[in-house]
Amino acid sequence: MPDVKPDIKERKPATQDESEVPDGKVQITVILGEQTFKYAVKPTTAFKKVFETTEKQVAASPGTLRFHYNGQRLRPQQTLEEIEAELDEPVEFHAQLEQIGGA
Amino acid sequence: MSLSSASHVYDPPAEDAVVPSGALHHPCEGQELGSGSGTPSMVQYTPAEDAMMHSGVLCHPRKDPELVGSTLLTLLFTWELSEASVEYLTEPFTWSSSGQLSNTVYHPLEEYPDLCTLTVASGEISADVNPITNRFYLKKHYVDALAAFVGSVSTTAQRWYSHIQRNGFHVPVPLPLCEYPGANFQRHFKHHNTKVRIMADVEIFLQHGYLCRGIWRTPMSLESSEDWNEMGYLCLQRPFWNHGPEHDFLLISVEYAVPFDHPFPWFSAPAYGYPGFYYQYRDEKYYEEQAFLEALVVVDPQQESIPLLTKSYKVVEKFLGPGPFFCARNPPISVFPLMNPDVPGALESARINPPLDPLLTTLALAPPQMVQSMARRKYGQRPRPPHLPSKGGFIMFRDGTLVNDDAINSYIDVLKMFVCPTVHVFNTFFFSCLLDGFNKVATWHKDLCHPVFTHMEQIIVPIHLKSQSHWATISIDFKRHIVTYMDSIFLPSTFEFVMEIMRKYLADLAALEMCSFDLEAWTFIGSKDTSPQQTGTVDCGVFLIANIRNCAGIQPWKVLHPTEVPSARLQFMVDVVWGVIDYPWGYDHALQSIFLLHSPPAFILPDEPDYIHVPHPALPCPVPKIMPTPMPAVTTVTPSGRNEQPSPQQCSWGDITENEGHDLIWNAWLRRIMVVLDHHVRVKNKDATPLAWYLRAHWRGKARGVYDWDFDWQEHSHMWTISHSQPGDDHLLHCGSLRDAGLLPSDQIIFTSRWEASQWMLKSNPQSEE
Repeated sequence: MPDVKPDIKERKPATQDESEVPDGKVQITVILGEQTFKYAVKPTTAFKKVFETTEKQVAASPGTLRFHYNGQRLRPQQTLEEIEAELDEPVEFHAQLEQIGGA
Repeated sequence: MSLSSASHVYDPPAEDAVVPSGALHHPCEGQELGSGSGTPSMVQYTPAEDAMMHSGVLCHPRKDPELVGSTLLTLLFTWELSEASVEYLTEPFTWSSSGQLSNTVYHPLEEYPDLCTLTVASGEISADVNPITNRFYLKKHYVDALAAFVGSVSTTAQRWYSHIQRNGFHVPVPLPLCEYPGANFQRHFKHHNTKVRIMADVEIFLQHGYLCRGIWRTPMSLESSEDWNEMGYLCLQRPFWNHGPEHDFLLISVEYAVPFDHPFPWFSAPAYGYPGFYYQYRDEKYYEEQAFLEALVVVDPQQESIPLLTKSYKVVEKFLGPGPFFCARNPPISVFPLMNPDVPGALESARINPPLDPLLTTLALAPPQMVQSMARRKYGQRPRPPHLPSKGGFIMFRDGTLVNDDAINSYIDVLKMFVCPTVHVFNTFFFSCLLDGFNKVATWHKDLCHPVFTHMEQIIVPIHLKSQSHWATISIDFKRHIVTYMDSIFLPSTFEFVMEIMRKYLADLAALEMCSFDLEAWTFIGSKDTSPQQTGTVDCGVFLIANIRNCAGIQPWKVLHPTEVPSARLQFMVDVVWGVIDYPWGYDHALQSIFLLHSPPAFILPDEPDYIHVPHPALPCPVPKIMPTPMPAVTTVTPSGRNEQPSPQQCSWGDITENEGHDLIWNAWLRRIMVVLDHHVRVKNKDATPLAWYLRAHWRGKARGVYDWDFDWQEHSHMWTISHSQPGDDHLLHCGSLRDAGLLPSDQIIFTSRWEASQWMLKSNPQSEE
């Protein structure tokens, strides 16, 4: 219960950060290992753009990165609206390399 | 030379008699052709090209884009004509019955920006770009060449090859980036008003050459322009095996689309032996639905193995269904599923050992495009369901491949729709994130029932061990306090490693939930007995899925035996394609429905009056029993605002017994609710809505995979809602979650049955009883 208040305080700078983001856009943080990438994305933009940009930045071949948000798998054709991201919190996508296994 | 003497619509220039030796043909054919081998060639081949062509290995489009790009075939594959292009034509556009295209300019579909880019970037095709419309136009001779080629496909590749070479029609464009043959068609059918379609998928013809290699000669069945109607549709007028015994193999692989309301006389006439089917979905507007056929027709002139061929014909019957497919017995025909060209010797081996299980073999050998076409068949042009894996994930279901996260997560997405709400299946990234610390996965527990330790029954975690590139499963049983480690290659060291993490996870989870946690009370199980052990080196992902299924309580509970892995892969892929994991009509029915068969599967049709209720085994989780009390002797209670339209199941309350009423209620009402919920779950992406879980858990024996894409919640919501709800009513608990999810207005409540509604009415208005 006492943890709630600091949370709110911490959120305030986050909203200030968001004010730097152009109107109508939401800042997305993509976390891949140690690296983070920030994008300002419209809620209606398909994630494909984000994915491709990230893949370019880390020089990964297309389709090899997997993105998820709060445990929810993200698809290239989805949008922020579609996944109903909570925009009052910073939106953090986590990226991972493809997992493959056999033996 | 029989090939050049055929009456073709388009007459190439006279020099065409000069045939470059070896071009696109196996050298052994040159001996039969006679004249072809000795004539001087107009075409200069590079030594590499020459060697390749003489080696009998015809270029494969995906492997040798440069070589393929130097043929007209590539262009044919690339360009299509559409009605959209007609309005930009400078001259009236006609497709004569002879197959000639009589126009000057065309442009490709503007929906193919990648193709346009490719073509223009090469700089070697003289396409005109209109600066205003930014559209591309093709010169007449290109179109003529194209039209003539398509109009008479059997024009030998040599002639066209030389003709193109001579006229500078050189298109060194790599093959367009298409995932599968006919990808252009797929996009093409966004315009189902398209008037002119060239329905030959030319990559198929390339595939002919590739697939059959030295054995294939030419697709003679498409010899004359009679095979093309004036609309440009390919129609096989005659049974395609009536071309004499000189052809060993003939690959019929035609993709086409049939708008359902189109009167195609040749289509419905079985005598034409049209190897296809069409797809009608509830008399509704799925005109864009496509039909596909991929099969290898083998004409065996030696008649060496009639029993085998007959057997194979039965295979074909099963494969293609009893529909319009027509097969002559003389000469004996056998049809094999499409071979994977990348598997050397697949054709030969299939010939020696005809497939016993046609579907299975098909799939085992199926190229990925076939798998994708399965999905296309299912979903047509409708929005791609989010659970479908990407192409890479689909490939993972093929036998002998490693399984990747995409495939597994897709399966889990489907599975989650069918497990009860107290069982949660995390996706494959959970464990990897957990390795980085519990904080990373703390938010992942949002959708669970809280507190987890008392309200959840089970959590299933797929585990990816990166260092070993291995899949394993963990099941956390909160009721019995058991953590089970299931590994198809059990190693004690891995078990210890994983369990250490799970102990920490449980402690962290307890801290997050602020409940006490006693590690001593928990048992950690892991041995070779907890999971079937794999024999191969690639199948652990399949065992993972099987283990998850068993843990989640999917019926039938079944231990996957290593020999059953291929069929399990097939089943899992079918599950993913359909988005269901059990089948009221049985698995065979579902399979057949997918594989080119007659009718859409009935279980995706929610409102069929002849819906059959298949008893389902007991649910693995405690679900509240539904209404054990007798029916009230009330005949007139009607929830206000319910749907007044009589349904087939509807009858008066006095007439039905308790059990009947129970069944009717569930069948008629809960099904509808599920339809709506499903719709909403899909639309709103609220897969974790507790009510959805709740109802799915109830309903999963009955309404599996009930999808209705066009169901309008607003329109039908009055059917089972009553205004003036009473919060706190026991019956209505789940309404709260629905309301939380934003699916239900605050003044409405939902009933799962009319009986429940009547009970509620009695309760709220006692005077109505009198």
